[in-house]
Amino acid sequence: MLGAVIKRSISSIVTLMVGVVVFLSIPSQIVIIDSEGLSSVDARTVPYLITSLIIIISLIMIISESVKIRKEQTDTLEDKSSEQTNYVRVFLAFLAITLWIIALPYIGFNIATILLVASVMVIIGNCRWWQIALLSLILSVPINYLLANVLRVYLPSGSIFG
Amino acid sequence: MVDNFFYALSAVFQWQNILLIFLGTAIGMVFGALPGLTVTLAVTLVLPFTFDLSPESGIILLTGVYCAGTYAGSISAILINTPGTPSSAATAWDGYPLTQKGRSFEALSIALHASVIGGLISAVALIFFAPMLAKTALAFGPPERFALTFFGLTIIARVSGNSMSKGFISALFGLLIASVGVDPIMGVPRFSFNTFYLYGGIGMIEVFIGIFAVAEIFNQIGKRAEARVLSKSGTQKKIMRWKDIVPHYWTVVKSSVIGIVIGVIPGTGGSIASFIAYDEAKRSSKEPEKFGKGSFEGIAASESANNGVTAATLIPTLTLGIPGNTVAAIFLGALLIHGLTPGPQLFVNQGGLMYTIMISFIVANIVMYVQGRFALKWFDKIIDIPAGIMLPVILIMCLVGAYTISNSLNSVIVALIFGAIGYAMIKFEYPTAPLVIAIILGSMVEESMRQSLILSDGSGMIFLTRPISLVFFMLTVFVTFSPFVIRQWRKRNPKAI
Repeated sequence: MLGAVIKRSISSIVTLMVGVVVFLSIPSQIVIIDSEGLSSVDARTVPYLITSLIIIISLIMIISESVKIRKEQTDTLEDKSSEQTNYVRVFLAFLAITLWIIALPYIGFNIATILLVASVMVIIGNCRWWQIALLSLILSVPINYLLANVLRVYLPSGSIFG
Repeated sequence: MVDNFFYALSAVFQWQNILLIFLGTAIGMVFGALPGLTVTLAVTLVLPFTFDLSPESGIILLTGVYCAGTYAGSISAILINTPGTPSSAATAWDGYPLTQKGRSFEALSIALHASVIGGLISAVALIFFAPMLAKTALAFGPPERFALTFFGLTIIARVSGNSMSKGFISALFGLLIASVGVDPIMGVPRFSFNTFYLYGGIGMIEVFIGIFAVAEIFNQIGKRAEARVLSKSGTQKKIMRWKDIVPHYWTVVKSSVIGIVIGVIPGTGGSIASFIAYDEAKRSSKEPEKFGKGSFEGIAASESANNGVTAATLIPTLTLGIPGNTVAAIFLGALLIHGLTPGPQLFVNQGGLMYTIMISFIVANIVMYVQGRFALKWFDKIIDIPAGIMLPVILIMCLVGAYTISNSLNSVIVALIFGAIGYAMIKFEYPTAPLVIAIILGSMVEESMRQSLILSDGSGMIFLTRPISLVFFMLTVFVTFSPFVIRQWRKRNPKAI
């Protein structure tokens, strides 16, 4: 029963936890200055109000989900997901972008983007090697050139290349 | 007004701006036609590239993308039974059966003509009604503004997605994100974590790119690529003309008006409009049995309604500062980036720009028609671009677009974080529209509330003693609680249903 509630309310539990953490962090994150008696609400009021509502609505969602499960009288409920999702691919794509952000200042836009495009195409699959090579090149050097010469946006050229 | 109108005409018909409309409609058509890529994504991706343009040119470019993207959702709906945008779902019901009969060109032509008429009628409605509403809204003080924005947020949270609670959570998180940065009244930093970047608040455009574009890329990568089967055999290349739409003239006009009425209501959008218009067209049709099996009337109804929404949704956006849907929210963001605060004052101070937006909708629809006629034979090639090619292109556009906002990786990091959040929202079925609209309206909600309380020496009664704000609060209560009351009433009176 508890397992089913947690499984079906995982998103509400996350929003509840975020709400509580932000609520508790308000005193340290928002400093009150003396002249704020102006309107009976200060800089903390709205964040307190928002986080309190997030906590209350999340709790209501968790409680209503557990009541629903109790009504259904089963604790072995499965998600009725009609669509299969490959989370490994999503995680790998996230990782590739993170590495691109980390590597960009060091190896520059051109090389980092060639590596990112190639890895994302490999992650997605169904791409031929020449497609990977061609698209990686098209999305790196020409885009860098266009941004620099047309929009005057200068992307990092890489500290290891001076 | 006449001066503003002529200023707008001269602005729109500058050759650079005409080129931008052509470019925008081309981008919108490609994005709208590709299944999984939405018009919101297209507008979000183009937005960072408008920073260097004048407000007029930037908005003109976005208008082209918006109009064409909304129409182009019908292309994949007709050709492969996969709506390019959610608002074209009803188009697929009749469009795809026509493709199977080898009449895809006729279906695409009807969709194009109906979309253009819907878009033009919507643009005319924007020109006539927006200034009238703006005049009324000029009388709004802080309590009315607070009540209105509060009502707008409530209705958006209420009607977006399947769960009202999730809509409210989404809107509340949007308000929380909007509160990051310097407090609007006292100027103290909030949730800045002693980081210089967060002193200015979390950038709106980075959030848009993350929530709409990066999240959608993750979503598409996570889905298994489905083999597309397109029935091209025996396709007749017959393109319909204006006279062919005459039998459906009344359906198109009626559906466009439905689109306009739905579009004005915040939080609704093309999907609701097209379903209602389709249903109404079927109800009043002489041949209702053809609906769902390949009815031109069905396509005309659905497409004119969802394009009828396009300009109409900007009526509350430009006059009241309440975006009607996510694309309107991005338009609002674009105005804010150029230092313009949406609302009735915009019509007083920036009348020329307002009329430029309105006229650009008319021109964008005409350009869309011209491009659409030429591109009809290429549409089946566009939708055949594999995800493995398209997604990396969009990803690089997202990353570069985010980088150009602040010329630093901070914006890219924010976009990536919000991409992950947006992906989680898609998976757990939290609507993104309330979050984005709350981010935009957040500071206005808080500022107007606190200004009102300063005016009333801290008494909350100020919101209930002024007639306009009282009406909006009553509407808010009605919108929030009416579903519960109706549900209870139905339970007790099952025979009355």
